Amino acid sequence: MVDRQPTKTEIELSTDLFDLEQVKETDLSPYDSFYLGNPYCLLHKGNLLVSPDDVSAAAKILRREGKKIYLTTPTAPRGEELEKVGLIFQIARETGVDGVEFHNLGLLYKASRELPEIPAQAGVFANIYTQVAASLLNEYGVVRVRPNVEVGLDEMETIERESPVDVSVTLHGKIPLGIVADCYLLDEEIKRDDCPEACLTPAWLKAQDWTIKHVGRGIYSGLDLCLVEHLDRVLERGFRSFRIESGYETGAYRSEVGMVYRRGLERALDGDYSVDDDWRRILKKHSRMGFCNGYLFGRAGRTYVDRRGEEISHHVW
Amino acid sequence: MVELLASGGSFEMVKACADNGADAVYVGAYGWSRRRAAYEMDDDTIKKCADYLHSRGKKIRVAINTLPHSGEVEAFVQKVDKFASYPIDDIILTDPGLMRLTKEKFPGLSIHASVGCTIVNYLDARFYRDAGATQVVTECRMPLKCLGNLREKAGVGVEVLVHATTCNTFLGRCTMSSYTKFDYAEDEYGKKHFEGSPNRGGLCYRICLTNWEVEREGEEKREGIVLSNRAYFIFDDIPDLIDAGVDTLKIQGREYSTILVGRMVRLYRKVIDGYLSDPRSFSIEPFKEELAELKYQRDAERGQKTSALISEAAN
Repeated sequence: MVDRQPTKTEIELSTDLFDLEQVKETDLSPYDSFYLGNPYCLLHKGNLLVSPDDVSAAAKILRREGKKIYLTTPTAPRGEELEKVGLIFQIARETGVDGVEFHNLGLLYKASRELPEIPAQAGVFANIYTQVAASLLNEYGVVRVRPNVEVGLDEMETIERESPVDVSVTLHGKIPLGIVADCYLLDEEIKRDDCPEACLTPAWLKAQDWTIKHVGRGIYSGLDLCLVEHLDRVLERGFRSFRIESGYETGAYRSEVGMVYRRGLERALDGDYSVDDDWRRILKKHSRMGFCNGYLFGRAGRTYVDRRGEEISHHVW
Repeated sequence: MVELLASGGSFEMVKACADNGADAVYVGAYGWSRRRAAYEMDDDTIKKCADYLHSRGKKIRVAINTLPHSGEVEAFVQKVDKFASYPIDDIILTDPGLMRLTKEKFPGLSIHASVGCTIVNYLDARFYRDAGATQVVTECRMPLKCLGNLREKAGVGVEVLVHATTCNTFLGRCTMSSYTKFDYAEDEYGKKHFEGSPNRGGLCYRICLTNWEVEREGEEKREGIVLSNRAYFIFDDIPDLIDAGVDTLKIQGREYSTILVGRMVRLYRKVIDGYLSDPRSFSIEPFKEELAELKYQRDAERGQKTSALISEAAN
């Protein structure tokens, strides 16, 4: 297994930047690349998917720092969102992005005809569960897939081994659990009138011992997926592309969590891996509800599996 | 002629659907469809259903529409091979890679893209057409004007759910259930089961329908919030759907009682036939009283099941 371990230069750590403000408030140094734009809702204030001037400014900053730039796309475009796809493709072309991420296979179909020069990636809501699906998407220009959150590490390994695409593994962050058809915050019962700011303050929904984070058009886990204990083993499996989910988080979260994982990956590549207490403290500081990682080990998403393979409390450390 | 497709959660339900006027019935292969095992069938029962339906000039559609384990591709091919030999008429799939594989290996089998594909626009339909689908089940909220030109823009048959549920999320793009409870097991035949994942194993614990307490910074806590997830009947729009050229009207409901599903089928049959026989003077009004009774019974059955599922998830 160890001979499959990637080298430092092959490793790519990525995260999300929904708007220009997030670009400015984030320490970019831990990351190699960024996914620009909020795929859930085009009404997001300053959403880079539909703000050409802001994308241009963001790209300038990111290029100066030597970072790769990917543009994401809407998760389930209908009606007006579908009409804006032309603008999004234009932004991708004019910015010269390094790739475009697709959650919607219809948009991927369109891009394979209209944006063939830009490498495509399949996002988490493209629902890739198998190597045969990943191979089919490769015919549409997809070079990287981020499988559905329910796909465990063993299956990801199969996808990477038996298809021509690279698999992106999420190392940390709230798990994207669902796309909401009609914004929860604009629902009749809630009737918020502060769109597009409303979703920037998340709603925490609690029942039984479950918590979810609702951002209007998207549902995330309440717990933060956390793989810091398992980094060396993830690398041993041969994965090279990693993601931290941070679109609806603060700049401090993005910056500090990113730094923990950058150091963790470097240490794991050097061998003799261990997790610093300081890393645990930082991750805990940014996790309001605790940690989970169950899906990756074939368990319920909200469970936390430790290094020994045992389920332990969400409030670890 | 529009096809009325109904759900077969058991052999008795298949019979009830056929005898009440369905043109076709869909059934789920054990471990491979978007419902829990109680509403799926073993291979022998599927064969029995195929024989029964074919003897009455009806079609059988088999749902193999879970998103399987990456190690189950060969098992999937064997399963389809077996069903094709019965024979069956159509197969319902979700994974686009498996669609392509099926198209290549079983060119005579017609492939329908499942509701789990979340087809929200005509571009999605084109993608699945190219993967091998000849018909697509559209997302529940797709407006009539989009349905109407889907066939023209994508060159596929169009199937609309006239009785189903609009989940809080886009159906097929939600993992809230498996986030809370998930059990993985392998049966004696090597089939992998993912209890708690609607996408992979069919069972959804419907946790969106629990009573949530909502906390938001700077605001008072709110209690008793239920995320929207509504069962619906499309009824008034049936004539418009027929006029728009929709190929199949589908009644979802394998988890309901056989009597209720049979009554739903009979009602829709009467409406469709009534409209087709005399479109100009057709009125939906005389059928609404019966619809109201069915709604009442459906909601009672659904409410009981939802409470049981949420309790199951919590334990």
